[in-house]
Amino acid sequence: MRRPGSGTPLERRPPQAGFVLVGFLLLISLVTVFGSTYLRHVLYDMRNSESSRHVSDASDAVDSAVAYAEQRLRRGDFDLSASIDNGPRAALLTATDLGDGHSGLQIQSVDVDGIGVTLLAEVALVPSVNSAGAPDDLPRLDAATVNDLLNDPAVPKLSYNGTQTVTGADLYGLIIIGNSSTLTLDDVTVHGCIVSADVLTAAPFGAYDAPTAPSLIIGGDVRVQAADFLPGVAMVMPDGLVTTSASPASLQCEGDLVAHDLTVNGLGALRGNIATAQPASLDARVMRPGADRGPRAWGAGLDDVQQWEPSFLAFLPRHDAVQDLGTITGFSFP
Amino acid sequence: MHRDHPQRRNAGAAPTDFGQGFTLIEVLMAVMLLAIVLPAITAATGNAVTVKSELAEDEVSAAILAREIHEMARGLARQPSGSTGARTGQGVLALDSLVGARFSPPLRSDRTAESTRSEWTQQVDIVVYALDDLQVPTGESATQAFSRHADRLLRLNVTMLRNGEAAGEFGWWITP
Repeated sequence: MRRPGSGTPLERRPPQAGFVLVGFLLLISLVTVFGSTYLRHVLYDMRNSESSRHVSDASDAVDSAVAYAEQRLRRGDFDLSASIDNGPRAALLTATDLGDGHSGLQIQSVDVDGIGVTLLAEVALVPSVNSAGAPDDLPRLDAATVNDLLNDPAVPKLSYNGTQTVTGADLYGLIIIGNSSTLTLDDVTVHGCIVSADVLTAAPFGAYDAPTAPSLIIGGDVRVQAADFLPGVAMVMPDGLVTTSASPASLQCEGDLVAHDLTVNGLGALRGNIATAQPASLDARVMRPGADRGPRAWGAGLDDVQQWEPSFLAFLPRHDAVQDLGTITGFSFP
Repeated sequence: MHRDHPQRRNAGAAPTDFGQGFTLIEVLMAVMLLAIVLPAITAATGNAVTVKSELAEDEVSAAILAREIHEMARGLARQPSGSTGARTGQGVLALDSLVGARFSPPLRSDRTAESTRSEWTQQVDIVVYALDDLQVPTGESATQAFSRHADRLLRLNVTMLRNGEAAGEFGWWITP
């Protein structure tokens, strides 16, 4: 019904229509913001878990590369630069000679986004001898030293022939193992030096003969500490065999060790130079602590033959340089 | 006499006249539609995220349990034990005990069982490679590698199973 006197009729809209449109747009905006934020969160979450997996894979690759480097070093191969494939990731080994018998080792597994692991290590090397298999090529006590030892009444000479076992004892002096003899030590500390009988003669050893070779078996915990009468020398058995028995054994040797065959399965620490006719078979848990940064001298009375082998692998802490911090803090995540 | 009601006026009209704004019914219907669709979308996305994070959790759990075997293997004696294919922690005497080994519940690195994760199984194998050729296995047994340990490298493979289904494969090079 129109009012009298009103002109042209007006198109009237419901009063709430404009506000409803605004409200609807606001609702759409809210939903869009909510949705995009949630999606962003999901995407970040997925990227984060992917990054964690990449770091984990890189860590595995570096672990594998360390094992590879250990084996190469144990074999006396110091040219370590290589790429080690470990399934989803590879690790790159780079070795540098630091001088003084030390090598630097960088093991790195980093992807194109810079995500990964880097490990820095330093390898200390000590002199070692592996002859071609002949006992006469190995170091032995020189004639003057042998003469002094044999004529010194203050140095006890303990001879073991046949098959003998010493358990729970402290031995002092020169421990002499005869030909075709086997001495087993179990929970024994030796203050002195263990030698084969032929070392105390001037005669050449000749070819190695396993059945008649003097044998030393480490049957338990054994410590050999070089004494003052023969400083720096713990065992001289160029024609003999040093091995551990099947039971858990540990050998701690404070002095140079010469043997035709050396096998240590178990724990231990060999703090001295090693000379063997065959590559020594040492358990990975046998430590070879280094001696300062320079080459370790051979014990008095032994030939000094210099060859290198790794003794210690030390992992270095990584310090980010000041100039790197800007790059790190300014890194823009993709 | 008919009253000129806007809803009735628009009833039957083809498209909505946007110049006049939306009617209350239209907006209510839109809101109702959103009220139905939005929770569905959110629930679907949430489910996807949950599944994704469960998968990620599985990946992490599998990696952690596989690493327990790696850590254990690094500390085991490198000498023939005469016992392969271990099934329990007590059966792990030396490294060669891990050849063909299968642990369920899985083992920690100290050889104790992780009984709270009994749905997981660690399946272990060791393959021997020459140090100079890490592509082709030598075909030797782990025990044979111990005697030639200077020239060999071992590949420790751990397959993780969850409720019998493969959930990840992991591998490391280790020293014999």
